[in-house]
Amino acid sequence: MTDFRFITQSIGNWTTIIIAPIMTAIVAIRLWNEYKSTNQLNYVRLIIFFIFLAFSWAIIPTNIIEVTVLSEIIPEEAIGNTLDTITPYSVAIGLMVTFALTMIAYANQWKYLYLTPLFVYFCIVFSYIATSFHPLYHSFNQFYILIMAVFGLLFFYITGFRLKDNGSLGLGIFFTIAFASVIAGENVVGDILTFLIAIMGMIIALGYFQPYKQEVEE
Amino acid sequence: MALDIVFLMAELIFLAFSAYIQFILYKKWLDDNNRIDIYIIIYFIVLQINSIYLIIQKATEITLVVGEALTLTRLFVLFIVTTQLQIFLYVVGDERFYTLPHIFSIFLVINLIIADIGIYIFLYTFILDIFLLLLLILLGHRNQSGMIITLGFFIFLYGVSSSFTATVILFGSLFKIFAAIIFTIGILGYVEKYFFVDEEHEKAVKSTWISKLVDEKK
Repeated sequence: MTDFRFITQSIGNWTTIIIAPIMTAIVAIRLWNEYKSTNQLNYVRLIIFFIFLAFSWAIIPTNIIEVTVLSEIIPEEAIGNTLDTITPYSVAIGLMVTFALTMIAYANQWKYLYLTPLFVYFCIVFSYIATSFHPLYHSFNQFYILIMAVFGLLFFYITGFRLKDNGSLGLGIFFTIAFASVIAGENVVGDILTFLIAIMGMIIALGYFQPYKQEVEE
Repeated sequence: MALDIVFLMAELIFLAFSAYIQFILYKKWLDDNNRIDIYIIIYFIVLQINSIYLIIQKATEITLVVGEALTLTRLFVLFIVTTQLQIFLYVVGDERFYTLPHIFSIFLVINLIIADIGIYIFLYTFILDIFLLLLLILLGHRNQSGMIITLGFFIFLYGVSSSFTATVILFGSLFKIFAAIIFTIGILGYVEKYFFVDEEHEKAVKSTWISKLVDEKK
């Protein structure tokens, strides 16, 4: 059973390690090409790029350490793999959630809230450093991530269905799988979900997720 | 004792000046219905409450501290800075940043309760005062608005006066009066009258000179 778990974990982890940077690069290239041809920045694509970048930052070091001998060189606490303390891992997850909220505000044209999630998260991280790493901010960070992830998930679906927006709906499914994998924990189900996150991310990055014919981007 | 009376007089003069400024701005608002006038009136209400608090504090010499380092003085400083930044953002008209001063201030208040971060408050106000001075001068010059330019000077001088209060409280009050005089000059339209060049008027004058020259040649 342990061997079987090691196989599923390796497949799940290596898939995300390989696919996460590829999907980030694909979105970046598409963003750049669109900018060159239209001379305008596609903000939806830009936000998706930042979400994928944060995802890569969160997932790659953690997954590499889990399946390679690097765990003997780099202490796990230096990278982190839980949300209960502020680590590079939890900051990356926090940024993912933050960019997701920015995307929702942008899709709904709530101008006052475009940058508000970024301000809040910047303040959490800044306050943590300014108060000489006060433990209150560990809880604050975890609370923010969990509450805003649920909120973001709901609004992704609402926005996706209401505005017939492929981007929001796709990211809603992406975040649902990511959320489910965190809940599932370290087991075979978690590994399968980790594998599915990478697949879903790749589908979004390549632009194949189009349940609605016309993509609402601006 | 004599110094206390001079301080009291200086603060009362500032209160009278600020009430006069509010009166002029209220009349201006009735004419042009510009919300910036209302924001500045509210800003001056905050300054007046701060002055009254300073008088009471000087008389009673009671300093209330909440948590680690949250004093009423610091709370007022944050209120003032938030209002200043909000006015600036309103002048610029960028709705995306409207929530920034409020979020930042809320976090600073929380941080002051849990840790002594007085140095960050000082840096925040100091950098912001210089930043607002430069940008408001630039904006005022671009829009040919004496009120905006003198508001920049007022904010800067008021900031300087706040740093005086800790050491020589009387100098602080005198600086406030000086700042109020400059702002009064601005809202009464003297900057537009004596410092800005009225291009149409100048053109008219020049054309008169040319006409005269032509007439003389004839």
